[in-house]
Amino acid sequence: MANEELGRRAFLASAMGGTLALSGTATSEAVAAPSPAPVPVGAKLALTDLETNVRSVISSKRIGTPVFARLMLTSVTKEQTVPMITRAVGLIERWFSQKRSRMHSVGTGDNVTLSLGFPSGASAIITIASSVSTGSPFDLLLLGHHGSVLHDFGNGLLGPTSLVWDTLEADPAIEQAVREVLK
Amino acid sequence: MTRRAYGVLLVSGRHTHQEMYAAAFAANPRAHLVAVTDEADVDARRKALNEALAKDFKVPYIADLGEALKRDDVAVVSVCAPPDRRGPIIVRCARAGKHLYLDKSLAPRKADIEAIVPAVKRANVKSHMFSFITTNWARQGREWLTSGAIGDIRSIHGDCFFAKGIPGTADSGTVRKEEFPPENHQLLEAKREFDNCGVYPITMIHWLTGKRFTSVRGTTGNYWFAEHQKANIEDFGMLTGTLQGGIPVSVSAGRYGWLSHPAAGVNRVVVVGSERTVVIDANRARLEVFCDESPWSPPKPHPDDPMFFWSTTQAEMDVKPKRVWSPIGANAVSDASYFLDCLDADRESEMSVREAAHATEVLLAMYESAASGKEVRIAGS
Repeated sequence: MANEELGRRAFLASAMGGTLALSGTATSEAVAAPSPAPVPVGAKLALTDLETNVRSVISSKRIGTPVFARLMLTSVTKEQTVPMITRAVGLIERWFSQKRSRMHSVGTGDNVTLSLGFPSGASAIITIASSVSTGSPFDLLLLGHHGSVLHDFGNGLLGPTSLVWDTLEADPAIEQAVREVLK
Repeated sequence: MTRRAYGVLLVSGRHTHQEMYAAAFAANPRAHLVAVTDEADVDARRKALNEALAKDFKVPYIADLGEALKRDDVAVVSVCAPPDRRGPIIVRCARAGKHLYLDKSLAPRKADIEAIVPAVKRANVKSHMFSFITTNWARQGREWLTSGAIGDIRSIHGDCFFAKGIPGTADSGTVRKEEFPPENHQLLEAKREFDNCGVYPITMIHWLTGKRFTSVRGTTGNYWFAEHQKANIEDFGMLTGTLQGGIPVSVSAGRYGWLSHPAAGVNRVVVVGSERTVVIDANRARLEVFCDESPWSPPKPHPDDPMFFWSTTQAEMDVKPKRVWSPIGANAVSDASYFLDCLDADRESEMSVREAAHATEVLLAMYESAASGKEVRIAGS
């Protein structure tokens, strides 16, 4: 693939929000901090990279000690449920730097939600879903003592799907000028 | 159609959500404020705050709720008494034949809701508890769900966090031990935040699905604020459980600090359908505005309201709005206006005391589970 095409894809991925949103009390510049490398359009995101990306935020101490995580993973098949949950629990344990002290689940098959508790009092919720999400295949809300990390699914259903344009008044003079220029 | 002007009586004044509700009714051409009132034996601080709100809206303060309820020009009572006093006041107002506009959550005790629901039914009055179900984003979300676009609901998950307060002051070395039944719902410096914030996703999930919660497993925490920890009340809570039909559900909620979010906080419901997973989000759709004005910075704590629960204290400390995210779409109709629509049409609210009472059942089940460490089944579901 030509370098130009690779660059275009990287730009598009960045423009589409392939970054972690970070909010916290450390400084008001937190939201403008350098982002992890953009994910090329159509490419897969490795959980190992996600682990590293989030760990680097935690290590920076900008959000303080992690106290709550909500991780949702979509497009998971029934066969992938156990290996995916196993990895998700491991991710959170490593981000929290401690092993869970309890774990419970609701749901069955490829439609499962787990609650986790930790010795420090921290907690987490993991959800696995088989259906596709409208944006990213994962959603992460990670809360620390001083801030938060958010990567949401994306626009969801509430982004506009069409525009109602004729309720906005048209200036006849502009319209005339447009007609002239289009001749 | 001729509009009737509903006279609105306000129970409790400043430093409650009445500041917001009174303004919404006062701005509505179908309503006019009659007076502020409260129970006759309120303490001097509460009485002064009530009188201050009466002065704000240029209406009289009637010091005895019983006397105020005798007035024929009162059609609606907006009840914002602190949670511990709410239950008996709502019952008195219903018995007086007044329609009820109610602060959230409905009331904190099981005995309260067991008295409120039948009292409202017997009195044949309309009732409505404030929630987010009347917002544009919620209505649009439900339209999508009922359209069948996502297929059958396989699981549903709600989050509501308020980005206020100065976090990082809690002692992180102490693990919270929950108590049941929960006490101290609303103090000067702290509220029970799972009740305060969690009521929104709980009511939203119940409203979106039409299904009751059947089981709950909960956890609470003191993650951010020393104020909450000292008062032995949580600043965070979460639950997992099931809805009718065995549908998995989860909720997380709390107060997590001014700068933990670019706007007011995470506020959304994620619906996992058999066809696709969607997000119904208060913060979408939005404009994102970036410019060279000074970054937003948190205000200094108000001595009488360090967490900035109330509008008047925010105004007194000149709290500026966060302006990076700006909503797009039509302006929302106020929740108060929705209730007046219900009265005009002689129809029940979609968030009447019946639905609000179920939210209290879920909240209580969460606290019971957090205290016991065990799953709690919700009776009647």
